[in-house]
Amino acid sequence: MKRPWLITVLGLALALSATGVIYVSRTAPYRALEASCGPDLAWIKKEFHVEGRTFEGVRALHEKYKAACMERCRQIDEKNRALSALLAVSTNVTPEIEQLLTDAAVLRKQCHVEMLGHFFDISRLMAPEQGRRYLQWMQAQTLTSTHSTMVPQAGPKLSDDARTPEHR
Amino acid sequence: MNSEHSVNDEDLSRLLQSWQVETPLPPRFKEGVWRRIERESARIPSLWQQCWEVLVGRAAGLLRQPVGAATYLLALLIAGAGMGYWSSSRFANHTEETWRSAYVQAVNPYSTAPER
Repeated sequence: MKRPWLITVLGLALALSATGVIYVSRTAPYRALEASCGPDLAWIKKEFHVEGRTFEGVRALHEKYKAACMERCRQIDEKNRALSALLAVSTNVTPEIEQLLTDAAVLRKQCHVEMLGHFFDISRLMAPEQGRRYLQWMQAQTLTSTHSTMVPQAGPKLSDDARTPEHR
Repeated sequence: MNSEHSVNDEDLSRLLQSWQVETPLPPRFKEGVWRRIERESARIPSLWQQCWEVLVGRAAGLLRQPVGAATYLLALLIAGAGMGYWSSSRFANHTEETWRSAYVQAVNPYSTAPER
């Protein structure tokens, strides 16, 4: 009666070991990649097969862009704070409020321009086919209409004729 | 060895014969003992218990044979490998999705965290 129990336990140990070995060996490259370049750049590296010096170029551009992006965000936040302060004491749209809205809009536009420029810069570093794929994907992610956040989900949908050109 | 045993048995028999029980037994002791013996022998194991005993018996019989044991080990090895493959694929998909969101959030200031 001892042998069947021994084989049962051995089988379970074998199954556990197989699970562990395969899991660790198949997930190790992901963990190593994330540890070496962080989650955001790990995706670029893996998805678009960016290696070696090209990857170093992508990393440098990414870091530079991120720093500039943070600075623009800070400026927009500053404008928004000023706008909030003015709105708290105003009863109508004053020229100051209009000016702050214009400034914030200019900054946002600049932000978009810089972002698209960054995408083009990155795509140029990649192999042509990968670069095209990257651009298409980034455009789909960043320029897709996000009006779902503006139009109530549960409400009636706008008909084609009723939509503004931006909504179409 | 046998002679030694028989000597011991004789000693033991003598000792048991000399043993006098002085404490009176509780009333209807013998009847109670017989009733318990009858109850135990009449007890029918439940269906689950029977199934379990049959299953364990068959599995033990299978594992006693080399082919059965090898099949069992191979099956568990394959099942373990499959589980490892499946869980690592899940990990990979989840990780790539997290990386993708992290990249979009890093470069697109207007992106929102993905809803989970």
